[in-house]
Amino acid sequence: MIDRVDSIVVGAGVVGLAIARQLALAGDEVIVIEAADIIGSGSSSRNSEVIHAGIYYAQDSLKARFCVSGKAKLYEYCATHGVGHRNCGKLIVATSIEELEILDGIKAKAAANGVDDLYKISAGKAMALEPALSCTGALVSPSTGIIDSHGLMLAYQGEAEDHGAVIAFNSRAIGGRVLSDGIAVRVTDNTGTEMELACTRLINAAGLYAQPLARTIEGLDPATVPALYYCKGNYFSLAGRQPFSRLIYPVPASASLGVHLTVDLAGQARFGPDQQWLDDEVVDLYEPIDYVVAPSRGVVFYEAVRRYYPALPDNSLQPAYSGMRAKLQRPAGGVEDFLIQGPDSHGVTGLINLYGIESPGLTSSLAIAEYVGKLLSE
Amino acid sequence: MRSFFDGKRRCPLLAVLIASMIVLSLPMTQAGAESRYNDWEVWTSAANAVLPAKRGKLGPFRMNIAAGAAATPEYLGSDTIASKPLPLLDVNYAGTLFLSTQQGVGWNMWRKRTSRAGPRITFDFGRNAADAPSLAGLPDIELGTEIGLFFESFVASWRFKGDIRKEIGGGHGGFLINGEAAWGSRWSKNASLILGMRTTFMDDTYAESYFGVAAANSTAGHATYTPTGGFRDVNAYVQLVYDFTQAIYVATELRGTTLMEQAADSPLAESDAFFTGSVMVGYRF
Repeated sequence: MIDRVDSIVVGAGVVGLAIARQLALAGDEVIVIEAADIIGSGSSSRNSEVIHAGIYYAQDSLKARFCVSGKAKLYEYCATHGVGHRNCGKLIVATSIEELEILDGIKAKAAANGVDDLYKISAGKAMALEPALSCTGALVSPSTGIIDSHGLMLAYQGEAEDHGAVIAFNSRAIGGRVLSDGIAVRVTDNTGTEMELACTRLINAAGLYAQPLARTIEGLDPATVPALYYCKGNYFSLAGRQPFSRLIYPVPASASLGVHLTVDLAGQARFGPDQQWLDDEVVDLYEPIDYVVAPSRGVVFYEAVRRYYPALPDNSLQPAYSGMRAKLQRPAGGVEDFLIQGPDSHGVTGLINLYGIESPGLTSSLAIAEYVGKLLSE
Repeated sequence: MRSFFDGKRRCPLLAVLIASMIVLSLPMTQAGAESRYNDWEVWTSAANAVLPAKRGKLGPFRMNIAAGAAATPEYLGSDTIASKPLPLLDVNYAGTLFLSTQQGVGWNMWRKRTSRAGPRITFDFGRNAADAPSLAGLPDIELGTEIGLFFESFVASWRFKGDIRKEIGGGHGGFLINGEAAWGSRWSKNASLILGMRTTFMDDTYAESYFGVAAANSTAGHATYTPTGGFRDVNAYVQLVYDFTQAIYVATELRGTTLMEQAADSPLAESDAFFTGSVMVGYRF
C-alpha cells in the first residue's frame, strides 16, 4: 500500500507555490514535489519581474482575466505580506508613425480587458517625462509595477508551510498512473531512489516540464497533452546609471513584449527578453537547461534598444541572465492562451494540468491558484 | 536589515575610522613606548595575550580558550546582520608551534624577540547558499584548506603582519594576500587598546568563487558576473581587552569594513560597507 496525501503539486515555481498555498489554506494536506533544491529556480526567477497591467492579451482569454484580477490581488498581497514591489508605471513607446496607430489598438485592447487607466501622450510629453527617450508618442500604463519575485515565492512558501504544506526538494516526478480513487505519482530523489505516492488531487505545475510529465501519466489520454515549444529569452544589464524612472516597452513583437527596459528594486536596469526559439527536443527531463547568454546576441539588443534610447553607449550592455518560456505557440504561429485542463477536459478526476504558463504567469499566480481551487472543488 | 550607511558613504566611513585612530593614538604614544606590547608572544592578538608574569611559571604548552558572540553579515556583502557564536582555542608549544582557531596551524620557523615568520595552514569555512535568501540558486563554497606563509613584526607600539595563502582543499580554490598594521597600548592597568587596519587582495579564482555568478546560476535576482582579482576589502578595527585577573579577560572588537573594486560591484554585494562587532570572555593558562 502506498502513502497517500490529499494533494500533490508538482513544481515549486511561483504558480505551484501559489496553488499549494491556496490548497493548504483550504485545509488540504499538500506536498509539493520539486526537482531542484530551492524554490523557483526555473522560469519563476528568470523573467522581467514585472507586475503586468493586462494590456496585450485577447479579450476574455485566461491571460487577460488572470492578469487583470491577479494584478489587483498581487498588489494587495505584496502590501500586506511585506513583499518588495513598486508601482512605477510604464511607457509603451512608438518609434514611428506606423506604430502610433498600433498604440491606439493596444489602448482599445486594454480597455476591453478592463484596463481602463491607459492614456496616450505626445512625443514631447513622453520625452519630458523621460529625457533619455526618443519616440513618436507613448501610452502610459500607471498600474504596471515591479516585484521581488523571490520574495513573493518565499511568502507563498511560508504561508503554505504555516498551514501544513511540505515541500519535498530534490524530488523529481517522473511518472504517474490513474487509480480508481486518485492518482499515483512516481518520484525519484537525487540519489536515484524511487518511490510512489498517491493523492486525491494532482496539480501539474511543472512549467517547462508540464507536458513531458503529463505524457508519463498512465490513464491520461496523450492526445489531450498539447505540443510544447521552447523560446529562450535573453537579458542584458546596463552598466552604470539607469537612465529611466519608468519601465519602457516598445510596441510588442509577435512572441514577446519586445526588448524592453525594466529595473529591479535595487535600481539595476536591464533589457530583454529577446526571442530565441529552440528545438523542443532540447529540453529533456534529465538534462540541465543551457542558460548561458551569448554575448553575440548583444548586437540585436543595441539595435532594438536604440530605437527608443538612441544614447545607449557602446559596450554598455553586459550578458545578464536568461529564461525559458514554455510556449504553446509555434515559432510562426499566433499567440496562445494559458491552457489549464481539469477533469472536464481530460476525464481524469482530481488531475489539473497547467500548460503554457509563461508571461503573465507571475502576475496571474494568485488568480490561477484561485481558479485551480475552484476547478478542484467542482 | 540594511546597513545604516551605504556604499556611497564608504569613503567617509574609512576616513572617520582612520581619523579616529590617529586622534586616539596621539596622546597615548608616550605611554605606548613603555607598553608591554613589544613582544610578539604577547602582542599576537588581543585575545591571545599571555601575561609575562604568567608565562615563566608554566611548561612549554600555553592555552587560551574563549567563547563569545559576533554580530556580522550573513556572508561577505550581505546586508543582513546575524549573530554567530565565536569560539576560540589557541595552543602554543614552546613558542614554536601553534594551533589556533584564529591563526590556523603553523610553525614559527624564523623567530626573534620582535618578529616571527613561517609556514602555516589555515581554513576557509566557505559559504552555504541556504544561509541567505540572496544566495538562492548559487552553489555552496565548501570548507577549504589554505597553505601559506606568514610574517609578523613589531616596532615599538606598532605591529605589522601579512600572509599569503592558497586554497588547495576543494574550497574557493583561490589565492589571497593579507596585510595589516596595528597600534597597541595599555589604556589602564587592566585595559589594553589596539587600533588596526587590514586589507586583502584576492586572485581571479577567489573573486569568482565568492563574488561571481555563473551564467547557469544567473537569475533576475543576480545577473551573470565574472569578476577579476584585485583588492577585496579594507577594514579598520578597534579592540579592547580587559583583564579581570591574570588569567581571565574579556575582549571586544568593533570593525568597519568596505568592499572594494570588483567585490563591491558584485550583484551579491547588497551592502559594500558594514560594521561587525564581537565580544568574548576567555581564560588563558
